[in-house]
Amino acid sequence: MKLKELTEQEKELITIMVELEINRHLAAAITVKYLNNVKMKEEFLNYLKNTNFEDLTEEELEDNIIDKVNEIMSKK
Amino acid sequence: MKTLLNKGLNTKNKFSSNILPEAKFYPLVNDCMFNSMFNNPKRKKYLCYFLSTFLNIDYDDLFNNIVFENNILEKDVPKESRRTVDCLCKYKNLFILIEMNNQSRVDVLKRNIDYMNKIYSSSRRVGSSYEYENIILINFNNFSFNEEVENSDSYMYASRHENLLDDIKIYQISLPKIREKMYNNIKLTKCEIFLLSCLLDEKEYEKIKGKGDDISMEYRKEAKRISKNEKFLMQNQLRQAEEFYWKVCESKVAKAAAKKAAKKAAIKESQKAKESIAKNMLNKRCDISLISEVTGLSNKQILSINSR
Repeated sequence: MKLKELTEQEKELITIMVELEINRHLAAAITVKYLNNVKMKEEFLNYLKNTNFEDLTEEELEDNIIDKVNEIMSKK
Repeated sequence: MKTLLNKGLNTKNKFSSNILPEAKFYPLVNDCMFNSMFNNPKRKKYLCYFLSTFLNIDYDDLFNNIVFENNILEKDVPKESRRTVDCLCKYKNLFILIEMNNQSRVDVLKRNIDYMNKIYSSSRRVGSSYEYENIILINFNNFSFNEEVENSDSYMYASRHENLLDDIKIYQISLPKIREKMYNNIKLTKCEIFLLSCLLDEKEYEKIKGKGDDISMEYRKEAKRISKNEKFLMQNQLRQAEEFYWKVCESKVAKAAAKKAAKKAAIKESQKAKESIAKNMLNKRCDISLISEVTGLSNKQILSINSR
């Protein structure tokens, strides 16, 4: 394993998660640790872009995000 | 009043936090490397060596008595964000807080003082007597202050004549200044040689090689080994993502501030235009109620223009 620069896709993911005010540690872990290939990241990115989170509380939002990440990871 | 923190920061001779291409290890200014090499009970000899040479404490005594403390500080209120310090240890009754400051920002240094104060009062409990800890804060700065004379110095709450107390002390270590000292062929202390060994790539390291204790060589060997470790690289990758997260947050705040400033400027501009129209209408002896209707200004505002 070599240290890689963040890809544009990873930067986009983090930027959206900042907008959603998702905790920094969780956002970083999702982006570089849990979703460890381009396809998984793509699926999660689409989920973030196409879901309306407006009416959710902070906890509900975090739960939804974690559920989705788990779902994507389980398909691997 | 002129203080160190308002002298302005200088990034000349700053160290990169990326891998050193020839030495093949990440320098100590890299947060993950700092965490692995200094904030790690398994490798406490490096921290102890630094502290013993910097603070002039017996190495063996330090090694046998130092305890690593939890580096996540307790929250004052549940909603408060988590505050993690870089390294917190205790030697006998003295807390030692060490922060690696890579960002050239004064507010980071102020934040460290906040951390230090929190630890200083950490033994206080509701209803107990006033008890405070002894603490020193060591700031490793990857920058220097303009007109900074020494490459390391200590600060206390002090008046012109005497120190206020001796249970709090802040040390500032300017890492680029040590590099400058090496370039100027000024004699380096053991501590400075060790710190440079943790930071320099091969070519620059040649200048000090063999001058320090064996631990400098040992450190470099160990750092090289860790820099290949998968877990370590993952930590670095995470850190990189977190740093990007901060950047996005900062630009979000900056954008919001710029938007607010632009809105304020637009309001001011529009007010000026309204006043100019009102003035012209007043010159043409128009009725005040008509001017008010056209410009949206109140009668009082129009009269004040008239009297200017």
